[in-house]
Amino acid sequence: MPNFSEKMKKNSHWLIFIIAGTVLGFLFTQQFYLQKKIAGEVQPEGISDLAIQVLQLSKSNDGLKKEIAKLADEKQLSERSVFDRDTAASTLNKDIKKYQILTGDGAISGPGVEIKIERKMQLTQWVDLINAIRNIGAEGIAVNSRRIIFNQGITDKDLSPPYTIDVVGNADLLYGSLSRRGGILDEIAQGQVTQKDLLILPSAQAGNR
Amino acid sequence: MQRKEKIKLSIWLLIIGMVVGLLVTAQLKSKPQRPSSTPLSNYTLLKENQENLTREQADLKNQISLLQNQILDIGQKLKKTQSSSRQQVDQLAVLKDKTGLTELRGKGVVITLDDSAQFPASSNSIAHAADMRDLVNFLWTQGVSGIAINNERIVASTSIDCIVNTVMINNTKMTTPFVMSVVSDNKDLKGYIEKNDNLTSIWQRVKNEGLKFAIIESDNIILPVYKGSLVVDYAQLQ
Repeated sequence: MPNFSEKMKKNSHWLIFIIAGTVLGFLFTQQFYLQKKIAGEVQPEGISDLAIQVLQLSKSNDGLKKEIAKLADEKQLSERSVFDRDTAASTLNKDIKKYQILTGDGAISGPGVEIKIERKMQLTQWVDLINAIRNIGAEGIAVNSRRIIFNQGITDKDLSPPYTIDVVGNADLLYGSLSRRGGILDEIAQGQVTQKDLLILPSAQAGNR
Repeated sequence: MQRKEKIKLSIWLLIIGMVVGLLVTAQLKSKPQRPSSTPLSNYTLLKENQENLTREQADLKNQISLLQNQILDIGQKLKKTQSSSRQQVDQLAVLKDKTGLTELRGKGVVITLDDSAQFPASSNSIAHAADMRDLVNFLWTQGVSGIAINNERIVASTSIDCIVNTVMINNTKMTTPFVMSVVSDNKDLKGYIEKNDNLTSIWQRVKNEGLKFAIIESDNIILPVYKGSLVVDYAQLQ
């Protein structure tokens, strides 16, 4: 009867084959799991998505901190107003003006940009364009001398080309964001943007037909 | 025959040995990268930043809400102590209502927009930021009094944006389902929304792709106060 070492010698090549196969299998499996983990957590789209969100959140939080500072001042002034008629009048007046601007209850003026678009735009394009302008930071918008306020909406019948869109706000920021290549105007309308030192927008009531 | 088999086996073993050797060598050769340049560490850092900023945002909004309530209370005191200011306080209150700075209650509808559960995810079977923009615009043209989406009030500075796979409203990240609360006295509002001629893109995708779009009427809608910034730095009243 062949002994163990003789058997081993006889089958040694099979043993090598098995060991090599095992090592190979182990390595392939390890690579597979590692690639899967990296691909699952680090999609190129995932990183850029996160980066944009972080930028937006950071910008938004800066805005919120400024708002808190303004509200804290307003609170202080309001507390003084309780006992001081002049402070009361000026604080209330200032707040009323701010909210009249936001609600379109009055004509406004200020720096900004003018956008000219020749071709007809679809309703969905208007909705997207106005949304993008608000995202940049408009304090007032008018299209063909009609004030656009947030709670009135736009219909197809409202506007005919050519369009002149006046936007009051930070002129540099508005111009930079609207005129950049691949931006909303490029995508939707191919409009021309010009910075303006002074624009006058009618009140929402004056603009309505 | 035996010799041929032996040769065959030897060749196989050689190939296997080469492959194993290649892999082992590749593993040994790949040097560990410095932590700052690996994609995984960039991703983790961004993710941490996003989570921290989101927590900070929630905290800042709470502070704004607190200050707004305190200012409102002081306004009520002002009416009592300064009778000459009563008209202005009332005027300001009306403007704040219109702006979205006070809670709004009333009858209306609740609209739910969600990704299809029937069909695999595709551009047509998921709810988009564009759908909500179209819906919000349509609702305003129907004269509704106020709108909120997932507890974010729609105001003058609101934008509804899609950033790759995420929707942001008032710079706040939103996930599905998108629940739109609408206050309106219009008894026919539900009917107008359900009319297929309106919001055609949404209704086509509901029919063809199983997009979820449900409207229910309610007598008790509550729209929260807007807790964000409303900046007026450049515009002035004429």
